[in-house]
Amino acid sequence: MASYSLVVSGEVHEGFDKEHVKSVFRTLTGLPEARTDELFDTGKFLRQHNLSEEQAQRKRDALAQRGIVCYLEKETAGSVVADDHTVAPVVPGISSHDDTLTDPPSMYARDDAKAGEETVHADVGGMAVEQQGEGERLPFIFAGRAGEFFRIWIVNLLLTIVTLGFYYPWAKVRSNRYFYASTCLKGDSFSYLAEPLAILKGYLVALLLIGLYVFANIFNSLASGVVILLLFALLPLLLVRALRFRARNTAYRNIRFSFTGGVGDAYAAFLLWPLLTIVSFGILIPLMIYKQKAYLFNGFRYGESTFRFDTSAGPFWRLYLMLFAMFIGAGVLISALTMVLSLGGSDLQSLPMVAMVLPMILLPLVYLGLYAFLFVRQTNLVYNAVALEQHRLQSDYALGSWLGLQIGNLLGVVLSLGLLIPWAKIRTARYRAQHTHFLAAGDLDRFVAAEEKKRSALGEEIGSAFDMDIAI
Amino acid sequence: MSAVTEACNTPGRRPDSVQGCYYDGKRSRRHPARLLVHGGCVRVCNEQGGLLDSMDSVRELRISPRLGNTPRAVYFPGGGHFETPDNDGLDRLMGGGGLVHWLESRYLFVSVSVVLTALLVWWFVVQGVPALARMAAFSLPDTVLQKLGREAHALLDEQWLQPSALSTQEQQRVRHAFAPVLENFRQQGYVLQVHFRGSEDMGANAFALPSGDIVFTDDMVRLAENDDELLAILLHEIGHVTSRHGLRQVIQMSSLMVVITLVTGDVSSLSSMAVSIPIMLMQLGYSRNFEREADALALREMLADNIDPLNFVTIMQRLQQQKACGGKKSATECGRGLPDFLSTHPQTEARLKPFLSAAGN
Ligand SMILES: [Zn+2]
Repeated sequence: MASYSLVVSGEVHEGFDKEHVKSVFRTLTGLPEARTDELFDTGKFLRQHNLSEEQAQRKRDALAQRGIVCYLEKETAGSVVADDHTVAPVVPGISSHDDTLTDPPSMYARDDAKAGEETVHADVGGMAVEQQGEGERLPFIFAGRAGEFFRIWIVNLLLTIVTLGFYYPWAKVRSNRYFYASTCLKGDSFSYLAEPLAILKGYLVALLLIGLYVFANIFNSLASGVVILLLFALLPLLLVRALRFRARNTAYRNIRFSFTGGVGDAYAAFLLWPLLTIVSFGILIPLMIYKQKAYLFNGFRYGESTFRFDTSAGPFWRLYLMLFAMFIGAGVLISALTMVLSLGGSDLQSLPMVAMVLPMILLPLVYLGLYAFLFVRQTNLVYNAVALEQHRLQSDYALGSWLGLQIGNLLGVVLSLGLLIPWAKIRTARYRAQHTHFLAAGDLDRFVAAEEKKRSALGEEIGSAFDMDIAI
Repeated sequence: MSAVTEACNTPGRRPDSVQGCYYDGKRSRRHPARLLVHGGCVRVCNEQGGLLDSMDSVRELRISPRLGNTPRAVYFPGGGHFETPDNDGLDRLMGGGGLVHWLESRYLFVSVSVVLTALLVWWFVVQGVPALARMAAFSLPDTVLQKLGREAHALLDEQWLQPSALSTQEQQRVRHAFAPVLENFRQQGYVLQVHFRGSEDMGANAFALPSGDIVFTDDMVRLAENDDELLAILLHEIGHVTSRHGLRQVIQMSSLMVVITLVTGDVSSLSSMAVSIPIMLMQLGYSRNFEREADALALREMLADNIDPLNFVTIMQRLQQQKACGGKKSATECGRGLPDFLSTHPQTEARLKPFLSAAGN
């Protein structure tokens, strides 16, 4: 059987920014920066051996789409024809079969010992080879850049301001499109397809509702109470509309997502359960969260294929119990520390100061830490439970890196007086992509588009106004 | 109409093309493909030269507008689409990338946008929001003020205020001193009501609610050395009422929230906490302006009613001294208080200057 090798020449297609291509390539392969620079700046070559014709072509196309110049060379069976550029022997570990079974960082076996040689061995990982019947861990790749998004953000912000807000739906669509189109799975990006006009209509309706509420509130507290109750009663319905809008306008490989969760179930998850939680003094929170997440992720579809939320309420109970224990523990620790410090202090005047200031400094830090802990653990818990047919998601947010990201964003946004908001958004999206994987159980070519259904246009437009950030 | 059926590789003239992928919209399969434009006809061909999709007029195809370097799609009527990251190639074949993209990719315009946006946001926050809030506040009916005031009063009574410990005679005396001023404003259409309350948390204080209810704490009454000083404070609080400061504050606060939401979009979690800090600082700035407005009214009325403006100066200084030192140490021992931009009441010195110069005349 003929095998092929894929050669990356280190050149960049016309119209692509070299630095950008380099960073995309680094993300795809996990190759260290120095090696990537070597490849793109000093005329060295990178070669991957032992690919089938189809695999090699797929990888070539995926790379070419990202502006990376590469070509295929036919190898004679079992051995490699050394050409003018390569002098390195084949590294036995790099077969396409092994690639698919190991984690990305380790899967790009590198011949570091042969650093002096001209060839760098690495796998083109993002487009790793499909293996039927075997699992494959596909990374989500986020290729958005802060500089590029900053230009989009500031121009659209200005347009929104000078049009007194009427341009806002267009700005929002552009921003969403940027983040979707910059997110890649297996060489294909996501698309955001919402029509700005639909969103504008939704906003006008929402504005009308808010106006109604404000007027009712001004003239009569009883009427405003009625309106508030009405809004509360409508909230699950609006949420369903928003979910449908968001899902329908998301596509991957020209197959749209959809949301099929029922209105009645939405009322149970988002009205009944919160009420039960209140009645139970918060004890039922874990169960409520579980019910809500289950409702969401059991409702999504990709084409004809349904998503599942594959877990029970157990892990949620454990997580919240752990949180509660940590909260109590931190409280006890702080009180003890305060006591010890006030006992040890001999200076009578400084005594109450220590006792007062210490909890004031420590408590917000504890809250922040616990919030971060809950967010990270719950995100992992939820996304690890999401399944699409036999495929799964995998999420590995980590407490330290997530806190680092958030604190960096906070400092950046504050110190730049808001100018670094786009940068913070890009960093957040990149973090999310880097810490989420798609565990593909087979190839991704077999999803089938759903039948077009008639839908109430206005309903979804209203939903668009309440469109929340619900990530898929 | 007829060119559609032609084979993908037209012999003879070389059609212009871009590389990309085709998705038929029925299955999630990717077809590596080329898009060719030849004689006004658009065709998508796979690598073997097979025809995947076509359209006989470029103009009838929808192309997603260019957006940075993200890949973009050409949508065919049959539901298929061709996607390519080669934006320049697509523009060359199918026409322009859109005005907004043109603006976004011009560094000059981006720089201009930064400056203009900053100026507009600054202007809107400093000038626009207060002006809009003033307009809105004065066009709303009195019932709104009554409602706001009632709610605030109930909350205050519940949380921070206790019944007054002042004797009935003392309360009567102060009310008697206030009567002419209150009557004067009643004739102008303002319903004002003075309340005395005890409060451990607030100390010496007085505040006005939008409804025209003006609350004096017991400590405030005790702090005054004569009734004219209390009258000066009363006039200041009446200034807050007649200028509808309470309502304006509420409106300004909510408008700022809207502005911040528009500017930030949906920055998650911690970063949105960061933007509430500027809101707080701006609120302080707004309140200072309100204090100046209330002071101006107080001064005007005092001069009109032949009350010595010095009374405002003396009670404010005593108040300041008490606040800064907790009423225990002597004035020289305690610091000068908070810097101007952090305090709700402008630095007393600057604030009292108009009263002092009016008293000197
Ligand atoms: Zn005041």
